[in-house]
This record gives sequence, structure tokens and C-alpha cells, in this order.
Amino acid sequence: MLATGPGRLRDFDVRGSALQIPAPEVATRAGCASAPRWDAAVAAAIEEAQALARPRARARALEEGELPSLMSSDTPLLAIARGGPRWAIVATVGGGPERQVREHFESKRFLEGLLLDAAASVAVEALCDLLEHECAREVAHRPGEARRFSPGYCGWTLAAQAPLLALLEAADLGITLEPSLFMLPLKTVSGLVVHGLPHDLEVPPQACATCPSRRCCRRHPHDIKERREP
Amino acid sequence: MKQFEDIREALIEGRDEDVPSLVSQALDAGHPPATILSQGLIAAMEVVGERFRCHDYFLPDVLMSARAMHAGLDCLQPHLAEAEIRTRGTVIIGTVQGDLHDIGKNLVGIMLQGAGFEVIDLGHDVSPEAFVEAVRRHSAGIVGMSALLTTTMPAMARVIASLKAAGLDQVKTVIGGAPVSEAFAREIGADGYGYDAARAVDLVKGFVVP
Repeated sequence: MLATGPGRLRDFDVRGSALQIPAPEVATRAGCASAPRWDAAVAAAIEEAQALARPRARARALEEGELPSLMSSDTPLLAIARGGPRWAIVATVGGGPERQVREHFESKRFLEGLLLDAAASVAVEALCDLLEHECAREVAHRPGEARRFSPGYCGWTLAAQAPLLALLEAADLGITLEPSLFMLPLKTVSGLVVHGLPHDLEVPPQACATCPSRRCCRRHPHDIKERREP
Repeated sequence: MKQFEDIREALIEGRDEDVPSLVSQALDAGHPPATILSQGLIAAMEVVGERFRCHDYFLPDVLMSARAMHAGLDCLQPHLAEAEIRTRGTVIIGTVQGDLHDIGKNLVGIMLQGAGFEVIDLGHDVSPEAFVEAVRRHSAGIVGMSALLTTTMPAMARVIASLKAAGLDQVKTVIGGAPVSEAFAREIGADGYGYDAARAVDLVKGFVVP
């Protein structure tokens, strides 16, 4: 249990081998969904990712008054974030997987590199799922569900990563932010978990307008059409 | 010809352990290295590319074939160099300055090699100056750039501007990466936008068609 009171940092430790990395998601990311002949290779990549992962995750409950440091008044997600209990989160599987991905490509083990990269990406999302679940448990008495949002998506500026990481004191976890606003290790996710009723967590259409994500389940149908490949 | 058929079949099936010996056999039989390259390795990768476009092959299939192609190329390379065989063209690729993501760029490079191009991969976090220098050093006609973040996309425009400033206006530029779009390519004056690795390769091929 996290038990994160406002301002208090709570770490969530899990072994890499305990990360549940769903094979279908890895296959989808690696471009071989619905291709059973690659199942064994996907399974091997998942094992490799679990062995190389050094998961670190942290959450911090946020007061509504802290939101302006993370979101400007015109951020489409602000209303959602204000609507319910919220936590700043950060999770990483460490730099091991990305180093091994490079090694694979340099050694011309292209397939292994591709699949490990996909497995590591899914692994950090799996870690976030655990974190999200722990946040939801803190407010289990309330109706609703937890959902997470990350800078760079849903119209939330990527620049918000800086105050998020500062709030979470993420440097302690070995997580840093580069000047061009990507986090190191690369397989790191930061964001907000918000708890509320599904309707209150629905992303407004304007949030999709500037979002670069092409395959988002929350993307509004009209926007998917507009962003289809040329 | 049976020997070329065998090479193609092994490569299409991604049998990297078989391709080198089949290439050696073709060389021993007196086939010119350039013919083995074009009718064996490249022809097979064309089939792989077509199957990928038709969704008969998945990305892992392409990568297994690419690995087999590399195994064959390793065997063929000394003979190609000796005979001064020219590739289809030289492409400089890199992830732009400030960006460290290189999976997409790697895939494009692998597929370009499969299509018979010489690929000079500058890696990630590549400055505009390094792109210009590489174009000059390798007399390259095409530059491929990748970016994963909106914050690093502007570096693509700086590369194009640097090429122009260096008098390398004739160099074609292709951009790609998750946040990049056709509209952005037009905005910065890039010659093409590769929605995915296969499209990027098609674009590059289009640049060298007489």
C-alpha cells in the first residue's frame, strides 16, 4: 500500500521478474500482432526484459493547489485533474533494457533488439499499471476508477515533466530530464494518476488536437480519421 | 538460375545460417558478385518488402531476412569492393540533435540496406554539422532523419537549412518519427515524409529512379 499523504513520497518496489508483461501488447508494438509464429520469440523477449529490468516507481499525492505548477489554465486535462484525488507518478525499468537493445542491433540481432525494445516499453507501462492500482486502493472507498495521463499527450505540454520530476525528487531514482525533454533512462514514464467516475475522466476533444499519439484508445473518432496515414 | 533461386529462398525464409554458404557457392561457380547481389540478395529483399507491404510478412519476418541478407553481404563484400561495384546510392541516416531514440531509424537503415543502398548510420543526437560533414565525406545524395519528440523536431529544419547553407541543395531529405507529419515535412522543406520504415524506403527508391 502506498499511503501517500499530500507531499509525501512513496516508493513502490517490485522485482523485474514480477512485472506482468502481456505478450499481445509486445507483439502489437513489435508489429507482429496476430502472428503466432513469433510467439516464442516474443516470450523470450519478455523474459529478457524481466531479467534486465530494475523497476523503480514513486508516487506523491497532490493537492489541487499544486496543479498550476504542472498545468497551465488552458490545458485540456486541468478540469479532469481538478475533479478527483490525484497523484504525481514516475516509473522506470532502468537503463539495462535499452543498453541490451543497442547491443542487439550492433550485433545484427535485429529481431531480438526490436522485441526487447517493445517488451521494455510494455514493462514500464505494466509498472505504471501497478502504481495506478496502488493509488486507486488508497481511495477504494470512493466510486470510480484511476486513470493516468502523461505530459506530451492529451494536450499536456511535455515541459511539465520538469516540475513533475522535481515534485517526485526523481533524481533519487536515477531519472533525469534532458534539455530536449526526454527522460533517461528512456524506458521511463511520468504523469498524473487521477481517480474519478469514468465520465469525469473522459478526455475532451481538444486534447486530441495537438497530441502526436496515433494509436491511442482515448482518441476521438473524428481525430483518428484526420490523422490517418497519407 | 537454381543457385540464385536457392539464395532467394533462404533469404526470404530468413535462414541466415544458409545464405553465406549459398553465396560462396555462387561465387565459386563463377557468378559475378554484382549479379549475386542484384539477382540473389536484393531480389529476395524486394520480395520480402512486397510481402511486408501486403501484410503477408510482419516486421520480425523482415528483420530475419535482413539478418540473412547481412550474412550474405558479409560474404560478398570483399568481392564487391574488389570489383568496384557501386551500390544503388548512399544514404546518411541519424536521429537528430537532442534525441536518443533510434529504433525507428535502425529499422529504416536495415530496410535501406536490404534495398541495395549503402547506409551510413550516424547514430543518435546527431548535429546538423555532422549530417553535412557526412554528406560531403560520403558523397551522399540522400539524408534520412528521425525524431521521436516534438521538442527535437525543429532540429530537422536546422539540418535542412545547414545542407542548403553548405551548397548541398541537391541532397534529398526524408524525415520520420512518431510526431512528424506530411505537413511538417512540407513546412520545413523536406523532400519526403516516411510514415513508416517501408514508406521511407519507397521514398528513397523514388529519388534514385532515373
